[in-house]
Amino acid sequence: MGKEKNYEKKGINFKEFPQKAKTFFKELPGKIKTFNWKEWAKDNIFSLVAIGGFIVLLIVFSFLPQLMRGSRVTFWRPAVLSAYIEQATVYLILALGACFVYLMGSMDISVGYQVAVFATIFIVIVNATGSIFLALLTIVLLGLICAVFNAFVGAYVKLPTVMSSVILMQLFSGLTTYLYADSGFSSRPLTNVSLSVLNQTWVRILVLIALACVAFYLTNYTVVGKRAKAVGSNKLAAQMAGADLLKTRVLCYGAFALFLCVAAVFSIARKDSFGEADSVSYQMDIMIMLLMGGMPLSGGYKGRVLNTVVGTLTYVLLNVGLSLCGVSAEYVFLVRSVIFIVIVCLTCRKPGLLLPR
Amino acid sequence: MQTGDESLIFKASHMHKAFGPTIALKDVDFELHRGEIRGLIGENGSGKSTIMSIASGMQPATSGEMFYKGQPWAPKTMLEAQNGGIAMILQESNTIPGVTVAENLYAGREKEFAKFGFISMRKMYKAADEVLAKFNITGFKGSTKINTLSFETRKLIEIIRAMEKDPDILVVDETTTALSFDGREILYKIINDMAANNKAVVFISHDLDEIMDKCTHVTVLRDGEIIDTLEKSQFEKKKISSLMVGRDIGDAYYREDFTPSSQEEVGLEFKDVCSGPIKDFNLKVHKGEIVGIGGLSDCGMHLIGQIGFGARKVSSGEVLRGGTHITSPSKAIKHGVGYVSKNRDTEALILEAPIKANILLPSLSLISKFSFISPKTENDMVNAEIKRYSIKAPSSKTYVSKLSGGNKQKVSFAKWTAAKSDVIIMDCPTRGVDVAVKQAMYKIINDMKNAGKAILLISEEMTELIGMSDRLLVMKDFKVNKEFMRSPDLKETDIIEYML
Amino acid sequence: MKKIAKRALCALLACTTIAGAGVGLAACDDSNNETVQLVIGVQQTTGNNYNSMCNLLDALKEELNFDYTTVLVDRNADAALSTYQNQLIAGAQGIITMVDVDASTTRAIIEDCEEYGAYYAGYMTDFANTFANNDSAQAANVEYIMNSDAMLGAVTDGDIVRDGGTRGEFLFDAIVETDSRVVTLARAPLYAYPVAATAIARFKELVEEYNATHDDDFTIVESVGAADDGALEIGFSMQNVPDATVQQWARDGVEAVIAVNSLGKKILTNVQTSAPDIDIYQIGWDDNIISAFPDTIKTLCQTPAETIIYPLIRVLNAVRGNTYDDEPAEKEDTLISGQYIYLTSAEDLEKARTSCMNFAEGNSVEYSLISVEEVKSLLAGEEGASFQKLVDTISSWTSENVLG
Repeated sequence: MGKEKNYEKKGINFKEFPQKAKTFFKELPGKIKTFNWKEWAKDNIFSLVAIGGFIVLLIVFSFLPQLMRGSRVTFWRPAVLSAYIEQATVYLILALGACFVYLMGSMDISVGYQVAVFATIFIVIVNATGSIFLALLTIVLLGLICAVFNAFVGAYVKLPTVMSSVILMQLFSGLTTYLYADSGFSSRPLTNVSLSVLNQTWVRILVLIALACVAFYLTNYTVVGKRAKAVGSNKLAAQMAGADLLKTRVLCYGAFALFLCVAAVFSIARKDSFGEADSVSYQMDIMIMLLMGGMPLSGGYKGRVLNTVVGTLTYVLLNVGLSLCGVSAEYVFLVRSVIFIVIVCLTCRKPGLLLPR
Repeated sequence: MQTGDESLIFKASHMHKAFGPTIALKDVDFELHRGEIRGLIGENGSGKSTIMSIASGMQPATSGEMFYKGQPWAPKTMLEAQNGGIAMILQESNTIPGVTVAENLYAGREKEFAKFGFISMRKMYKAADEVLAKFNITGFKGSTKINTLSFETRKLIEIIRAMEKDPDILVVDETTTALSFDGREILYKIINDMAANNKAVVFISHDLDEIMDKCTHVTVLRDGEIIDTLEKSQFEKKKISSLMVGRDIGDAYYREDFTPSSQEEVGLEFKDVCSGPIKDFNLKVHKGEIVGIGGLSDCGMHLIGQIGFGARKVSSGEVLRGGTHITSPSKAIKHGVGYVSKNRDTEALILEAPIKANILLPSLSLISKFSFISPKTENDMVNAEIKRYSIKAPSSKTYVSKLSGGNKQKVSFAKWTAAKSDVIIMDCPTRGVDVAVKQAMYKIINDMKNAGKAILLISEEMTELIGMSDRLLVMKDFKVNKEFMRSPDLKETDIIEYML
Repeated sequence: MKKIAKRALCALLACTTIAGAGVGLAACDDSNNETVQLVIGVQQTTGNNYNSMCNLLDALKEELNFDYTTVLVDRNADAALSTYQNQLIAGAQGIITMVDVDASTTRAIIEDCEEYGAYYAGYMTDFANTFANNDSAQAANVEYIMNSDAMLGAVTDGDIVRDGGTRGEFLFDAIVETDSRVVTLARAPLYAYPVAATAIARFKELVEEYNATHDDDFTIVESVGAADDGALEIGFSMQNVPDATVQQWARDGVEAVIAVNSLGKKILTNVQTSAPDIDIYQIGWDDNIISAFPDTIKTLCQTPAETIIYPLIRVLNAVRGNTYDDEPAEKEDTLISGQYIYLTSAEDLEKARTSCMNFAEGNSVEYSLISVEEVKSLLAGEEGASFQKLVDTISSWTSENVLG
């Protein structure tokens, strides 16, 4: 019984790589020919629609701003791409973290206030002690406590898991008000340390790629990722197959909390301060982004990190692109809403699609 | 029973149905006469359900014609077909949860009880009570909430709902396995009454014994084609089985030996277990032993399976596996206990997940290294299981929802063989599975026994229990009423008296 | 699958086409390279002030060769930064903001302006939030902002003098003429409006002086949950003063609410419903409450929307590289006062309707305090134009001058 069982844990034999690579490329044309592309496309239609939408938007914004506002207003400029990455960073980090929660068929509506509290506590500790490490450790611990709370409410109180985030939202909303009412100001700045090093585009890109890889790895190649998807698809069957619901939830919410902490730090880094109202809309933004990327509301096996990345990039692209086109504020909101509705309708799944549990 | 054209009630001509590249029906000609109870039998994917689902409006044919009572027939919906006189009862659950029996019976027909837009529930309940009385159904009323009723009783309500419209053709698709003993009796009576009243019944089932017993004719399908139609006088089990699979399946179906055997070592022990209505249940399942538990569907045997797997809490007593008290499914799996659930689609399988994911789910902790799971290990494991069970699917990434019933059952088995479980609790393991697959599964169960696994086989099929068990426990009213040892002389009649 | 993909493509292209059509409102003709692109950050895109501002700018843009876009900005500093950033990369050469954010964010915006060669100026704001100086980090940011060439100054909403004394006096003068003697105090958060503290303090001082020499004493009733200075703090997230508070006022016999800073509407709703006898004396920029004047709202204070010309001219000058001979040496001197127009009676309102866009029918530019030619003459490089003249023009828009 247990891990001593007769499984060969196949290790990685690096010496075999060249031969394996050779065989792989040799067999590739044949595999492409025989591969059932239609079936594959059908199974992945929602992701394909989302990716297709993103590509179409990229193409459209490649020429539309010039049409609307003249040749000097182009999308493919370093300044625009840099601003795009800057605006996408915090959202993408949050969305990658939220992926773990959404895969389980849950939803978290306390994201904005959690980020606000984590960011503020981070700033307070750094200002008081000068130690980024201590501040980071504190907010990570706080995040893990929230994770355990979320997991327990779902497991033992038998409320829908979204309710635990409602509770946290109320709690953190009050805490945010307190933290800023006390300060007497609408924001808290870093006083003795600067995080501006994180503002460089290449740093952002590297971090985002690294986090996306981590999220991809965790959701596809680890026990917790596979169990999260199982729980999202069929909680009962997952339990009957040995998934410990509480443990899975703790780990997923824990991963989410860690990503939240990173997002909070990057949010601060943007201007070396954090404002009371800076993150209030995050929970709805994240939900829209994930849905735009084709993430099913009920979670499960059809949810992917790819959905998250594509959805977030599409959302921010709309903001940047429409602004480049000179679309005024109200129209940006309208167009984004229309595109959101279109994508959700196209990717809406058949019966059985329930709101998060 | 009439013969000749005036008795012809339904005809399908050159019916063809394709799902993309998959051909479900190949140019099929089918005739049904009044007074017939026509059995349709075939392996999974033979097309037996497809042909009648087209006739009952569930889906359209790709090509071909249908005639009903001499007129062209092409219903667009099941409701239209039902109004026309063809009603079909499906294998899957088709009742509306959360409402009453009456609301289920009259779903879609609420206007009949409405006045000025307000529905009179009192009238609806009264009508429902009358219908239930007509079919001699007791134990609940029209105002009973359907959620309080068992799966089997809900299936009965579906039957009543179909009969309420007095159809001329009733199609029963693999329904009897979902019914209790009493429910089956009610259904058989309905079928016989329909035949006697010059109507027709199409009876789709895997249970060859049942078909041979209840039907007047049987049509055998294989690979989307009708192979043959036999009259009752021509019924012979071996012949029909051969027609189904296209080969002689031989005499070996269940175990070939008739001697009970087991090892000394106990695989799973129930020690003075109390849980809900189960009181002081004791049982030792030894390694290399198949212990069968049979009885009526509500005798408590299904609860035993859940308790053994730790899926149901015990109020006192213990379920022991090598000295460890099994208290949860994760603990059970960790200690090598597997469970093939009766509720395949809700408990045993995740339909919206690939075959691969389903098979691997119980084994994740076993094959992971620092939480990492190697894709190669996964693939090797899954491919081995697919090969072992001959699971028919384009690839291991195919979603389980796309598989036939038999293949789904194979996947739910594969989970536990992949996990190398030493103790396997099986609850109705061959439900909804065709004869060839059943035969293969019985072989696997036998091999498991020979490999020293401890097997607890819970089943509502007496022949299966008799054919496979070393020891057979009969339960009644949540207690073991009688224990039988394996013997060539053991018959169903011996067992039934202890069940009822 | 093909169908869905086709549908998706069509839907997306349709959406973008609709957006593009809607964008037909935006300037699409760039044949004139000198048309300066401006963006104005506003809190709301409705109301008398917004309409007046837009009407005036529309009248000016052709003659002064600029175009503008308005963007919604609120207290979400992060979003404000993104919004302005998007405008800058779209080619905006000047940002005029009505919404002040904290020093760190203002610095980030200024840095972006520097990067894109754009400029930043304030309208109806005294940058109180930016300048709220509570620690060395913020001081460093403020120093950076004030040393940046991108920062062009601001025109405030009302008197820039931060002791707020005149505001307190105005309110006292308005109420002392009436019979109302039982009052309660309310104000906006101090971090946003530090001047409110001194306004309240001055009002209380005047009340004390009055009570010492008169029999008909003022009584100041404290609301439940009032701050240390006795005034109820009404935060930005509060939609309306709670009905329970209004009912407490009614029970305690309150006759008038003295509200400092942008609060008229927040108090008005429930007062009209639950205690219609209570009057509201308010001060500070507030829109959309004119209909309740002079019945419930007893004082209106409005800085004319026409003060937009200050940041407009500052930005146009900077983008075109034109300077005044008397260009201020110190950045502090570029922060100038707007003037309140005080209305305390129906007669005042009547006069204002034909002399100030904010109160005019349709906010018509016909009633603008300044003509297109006059605005043009204030641009650097025009004959007789100077910084002082620009400031004097703004300063001349007092109650006395406007209402006559």
